[in-house]
Amino acid sequence: MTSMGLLLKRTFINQNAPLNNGAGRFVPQLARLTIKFCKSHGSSQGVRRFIEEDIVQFAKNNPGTVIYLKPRRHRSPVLVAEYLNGEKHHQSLSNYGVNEVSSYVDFYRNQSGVEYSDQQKNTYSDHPSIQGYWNPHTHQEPGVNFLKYPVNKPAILHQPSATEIVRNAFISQQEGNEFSPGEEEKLEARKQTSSS
Amino acid sequence: MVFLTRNLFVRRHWHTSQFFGHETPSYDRVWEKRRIYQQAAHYFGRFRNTKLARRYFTRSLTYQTEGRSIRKRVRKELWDTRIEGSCQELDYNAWYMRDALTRAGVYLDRKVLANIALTEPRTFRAVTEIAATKSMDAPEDGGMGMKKCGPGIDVYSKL
Repeated sequence: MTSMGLLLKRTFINQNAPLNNGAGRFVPQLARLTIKFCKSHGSSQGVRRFIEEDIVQFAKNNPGTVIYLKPRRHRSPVLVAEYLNGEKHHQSLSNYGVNEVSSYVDFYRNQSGVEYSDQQKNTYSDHPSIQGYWNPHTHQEPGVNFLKYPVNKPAILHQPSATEIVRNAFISQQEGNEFSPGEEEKLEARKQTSSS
Repeated sequence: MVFLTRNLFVRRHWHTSQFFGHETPSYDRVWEKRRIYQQAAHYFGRFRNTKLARRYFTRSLTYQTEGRSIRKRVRKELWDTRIEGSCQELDYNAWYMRDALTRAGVYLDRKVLANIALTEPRTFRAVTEIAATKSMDAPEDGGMGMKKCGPGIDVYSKL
């Protein structure tokens, strides 16, 4: 997944609930909304209609947000959203219809001021390991510290080493061939055919 | 990233054409190019500046598509290797682990086993002992009849 190369930040979104237990009221993050528009130019038409129709209801629904309206001659309409963490986001509303304007106002109302970033993992933990991370001494017995080498202890892994395999084969050859019953029958059969 | 296909990068506005009298698309070429250059910002040299960016970005999208199944396979192989290594240290053959754990009723997947082998080694040792005890059980009891293996923890209850 390309995360816009070097441009997109990668974060864990875990700052919203510091106690991680749902306690505390939700605090709306949008502190101030400033709408600059022109009273006569056509590009502000959508903004003007939004102000006439919807803005009072919006202000009543969001008592924590302060709304400033700045009518300025010969200026294109702009929305500036300021958040509790001090960030300012501006959005041009030039030639936007009333539906688009109200959608964007809602969009900035629902944002926190934090920069858009990519969260690639679903899980986060402050303490990933409770028992302590594995290290080479985790499964070793403490008695290993007091050994005096050389030691005639058998190896932890019960599999014989290559040297031991060869030595065992040589010893079994020296002692005499001990066949399993199946092998002995085969050897007998071969002997009969060769003689006949 | 939300856009998974290059076609979705196209920004197209429809406006009524004075000449034709019906809706025609207007393409925002600057925006389309900008979106591609943003994605190719970490490429080397000319590949991030010129029309090559478009070509190599398309290739990167195909790599992403192919990589989705490859990632799953590689992750599984990595987990298998890690579980095998951790089991070897505890004198158990991980080849039998899945079967033994299922017989014992422990339904842990590769991801969890590989993670607890790193972060919770004592738990992993206990899980390996469960698998080893089940493997050493006689086939009549539901085991696999293997020779002595596993970390030497005494298990007093019937698995």
